[in-house]
Amino acid sequence: MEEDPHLEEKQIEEAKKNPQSFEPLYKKYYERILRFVYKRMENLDDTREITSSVFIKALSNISKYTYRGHPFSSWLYRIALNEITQFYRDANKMRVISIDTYGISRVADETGKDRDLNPVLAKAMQHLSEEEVLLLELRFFEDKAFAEVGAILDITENNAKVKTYRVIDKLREIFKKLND
Amino acid sequence: MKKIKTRAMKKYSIKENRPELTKDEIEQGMDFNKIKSKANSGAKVVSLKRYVLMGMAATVIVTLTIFWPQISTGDQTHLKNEIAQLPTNTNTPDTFVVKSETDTTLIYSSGSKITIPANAFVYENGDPVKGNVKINYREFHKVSEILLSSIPMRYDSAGKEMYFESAGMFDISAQQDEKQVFIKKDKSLNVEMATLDKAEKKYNQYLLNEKTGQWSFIKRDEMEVLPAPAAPAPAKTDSIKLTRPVKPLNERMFTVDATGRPDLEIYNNVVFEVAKDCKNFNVEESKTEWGMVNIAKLEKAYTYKVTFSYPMSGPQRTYEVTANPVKDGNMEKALAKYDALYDVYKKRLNEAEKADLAAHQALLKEKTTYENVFQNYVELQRKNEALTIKNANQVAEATQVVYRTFQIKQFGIWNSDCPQSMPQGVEVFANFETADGKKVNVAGVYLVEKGKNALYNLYVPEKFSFNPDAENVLLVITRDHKLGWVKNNVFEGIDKTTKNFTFKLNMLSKDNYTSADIDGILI
Repeated sequence: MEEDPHLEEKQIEEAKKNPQSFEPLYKKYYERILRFVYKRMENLDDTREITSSVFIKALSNISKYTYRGHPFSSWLYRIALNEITQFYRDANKMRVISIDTYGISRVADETGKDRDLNPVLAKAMQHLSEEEVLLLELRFFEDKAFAEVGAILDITENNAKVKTYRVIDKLREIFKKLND
Repeated sequence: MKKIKTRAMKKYSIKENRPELTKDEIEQGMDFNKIKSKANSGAKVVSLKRYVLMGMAATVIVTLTIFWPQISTGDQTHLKNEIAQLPTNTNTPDTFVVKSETDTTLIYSSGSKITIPANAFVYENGDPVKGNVKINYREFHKVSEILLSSIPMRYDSAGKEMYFESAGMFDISAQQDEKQVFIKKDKSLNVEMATLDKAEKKYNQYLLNEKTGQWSFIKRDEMEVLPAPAAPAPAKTDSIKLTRPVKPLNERMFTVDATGRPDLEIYNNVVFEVAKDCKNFNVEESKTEWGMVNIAKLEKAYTYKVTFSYPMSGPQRTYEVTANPVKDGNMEKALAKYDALYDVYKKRLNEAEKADLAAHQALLKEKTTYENVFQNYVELQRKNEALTIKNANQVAEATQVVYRTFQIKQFGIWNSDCPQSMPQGVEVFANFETADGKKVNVAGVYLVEKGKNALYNLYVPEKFSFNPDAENVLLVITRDHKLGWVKNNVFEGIDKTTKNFTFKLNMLSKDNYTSADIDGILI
């Protein structure tokens, strides 16, 4: 049986009237948000706390949410990023970045480097701003399309593309300098 | 361009290749009621770190009440596919309808037996179930079936990651009017699962927790070995008639090359002829050279179903015919001798009819001779058929039926397994490309060691180890739903000094591949 393409919109509208109706959305996105947050946190306890905060905030502000052609998940990811930023501001700790072999190989391909990029990339990322790191994470380590990257960061798709490629250019320069 | 200092202050804590969260870790902390009540109360979400910053010596721990989520488990569909790109044509369960109030025995198509005592079912609240109940049952035996099932085969053995070598797996559930039913606490169902592997005692029984994806050890395996079924008797021929056998046409005849196929050795030197009533016969296909053939004996005497696949040219397809074994070298000679004698007999009979009786009697003696020769020809054909049956029986005896008995007190996915460590020996940093050099975006990579019914899911396919002494096959599922593979001859080219290696994949052209396609690759 095909899922109703407007099901999510209907669920959101229902949730605005009745908080209990938010439950299907919570169940649908819980794991995704948890994994998203965990990549940016040191431990699971903090991850769970931030994830709960995301859904509490989402439910509290559901009346303000308007469907603009982007998936509901983009809105949740944006809330999550805000919560994470706030967490690190308060905790005065180093922001965690999770990288994996697959994402590293994609960065390597884009920058024209060897696949053996691990130690160099870790050093290079220390020279990037928070926004630049975020673009790398979303595009290469979480495999998000530019449209979704734009929706999460509240910028246009084209802008997301341009900014990402600027980060790649910057990384190439950093790699050159690190090799010198 | 802004100058970049090569030494930057460390801003980020970089973590490489962190292990994925388990199902258990994910589901702990899922609590919608808490979310709802906090959102309703307008409670301010306070990070515990803020309390630390406020200078409190002891951390105030906000304790969330953790309880298992009330997720309906009416069917298996909430088990997340490890690889979303797998085709959905996995083996569907057989459904049996049983009366709850009576003892029932069900026989599955593999020969497995399920014994259900009367009044064994209850609802979730413990109330007894009355009336008809639907039992859904299916099995997974081969690597191909296990792969397409998406059932996780990882096993955590005291913190060590192991993989299951399976002797067979089954999935059983029951419903009444779409509502899940359970097994009463003091009852159990007996499942005797028929398997075709060796009767080894190394296996244990495990049950899958479908919420967490973790297997639990239940007990040592119980098995019973039963003899292979009796071979059918060869068909009796009618009384011998002095008729000359029809000579077959060449385009309908073929022989089978059994090299590398022990299961086809019995057909070596056997000439087959496509049956006259075979509607599938195609002259063009009969001229094609095929990479693989399978032969199956049919009920009708001297009749076989022959399936050709993997043509050496043209698109991927199969060609199936019914065929009869015609003759081997010995029968050829017997036929030639019979022909020669028959011609002589015919000629001399004509002459004798014109001559005297003595000569006629002498010719009758010769007739007896060629009758004997014809008898020998028929006997040879019958012996050939009997040999085929005898050899087939020997093959059946080698793959005896082993029944593994489970007393199950709950429905779910049960497995007879032996945990195996991940393969070791040679480590390789892998890239994947098609034969023409195009990069392949992989969704899942699986390592199979031939002869072992185990499937190793390589979660980090860019770096893995394999056993160089095993016969290895890599199965690759791409992000665009295609199936690729690499056979052992490629692995033979990799040694411990090899660091980076590019695997050139053979690709299956079709999207909705089945377990039969994967079986063909693993032969």
